[in-house]
Amino acid sequence: MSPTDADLVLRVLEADDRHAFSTLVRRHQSAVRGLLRRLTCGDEALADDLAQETFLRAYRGLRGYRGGARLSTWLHRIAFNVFLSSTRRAAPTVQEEEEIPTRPRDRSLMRHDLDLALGELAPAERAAISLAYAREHTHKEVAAILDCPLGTAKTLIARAKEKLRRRLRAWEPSEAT
Amino acid sequence: MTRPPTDQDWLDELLGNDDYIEDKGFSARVMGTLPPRAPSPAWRRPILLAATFLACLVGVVILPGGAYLVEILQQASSYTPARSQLPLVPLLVLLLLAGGGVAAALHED
Repeated sequence: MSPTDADLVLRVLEADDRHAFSTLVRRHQSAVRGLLRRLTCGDEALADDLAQETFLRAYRGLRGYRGGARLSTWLHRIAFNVFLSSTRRAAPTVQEEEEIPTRPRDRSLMRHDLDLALGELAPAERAAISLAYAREHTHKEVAAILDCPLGTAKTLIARAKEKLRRRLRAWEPSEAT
Repeated sequence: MTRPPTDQDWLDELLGNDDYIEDKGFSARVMGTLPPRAPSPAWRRPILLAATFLACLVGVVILPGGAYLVEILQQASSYTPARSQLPLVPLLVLLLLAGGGVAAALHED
């Protein structure tokens, strides 16, 4: 039986067990990198840099982890903060609005268009909807990660979904199909 | 008759459709960025050396076989190749253990 996250965290804290931390990184890397890819609108290189920074901050701040929340919730909160820091550091860029095709042709194009549509959302909306759907966090966990009231988190998710629905209307399957 | 897809269906499916990302060296890169381990406290090395010395002392003097080991040491001082080497085995084991303890102490960084 593989050790739980709590066991591994304890081993890192008590003996600076690098192997235990490496296991935690391998276990959570996909979710953290996936979230950051969505937040960075599909920029894989930037997302990986931010994910690396996320795990480094997690290692340094592991004593601050309270076992009450899931470790993934705690890691996603750090990832979101790292992302926000990076957007503050980066010079504002004018993003060219790319036209979304009328009919998606394959899966990679759909992913690309979703990234474009996500890029038009406010960072908090983007994070909220990514956390709620792709990462399967509860609304309460989303609120904890974004450090906002539960009602605000629900509003962010609903608003983001409505914007995406409008933006990606071309993908909506017709009733004839 | 199939149910026509709703907004809820296609958008939920699209948003929840996130593939697993293969590690491909990511974890190793993260581990490479971690700060070096904190050095051991200064008191650990002398404590280990003292513990090794004490363990040897206990082995030689206090334990029932101590007198036998002293005898082996005396034999070793007048060692000749013609005599049996078997009695030297416990002594070699003890030296090996002591060496291990000292090595462990020296690698405490």
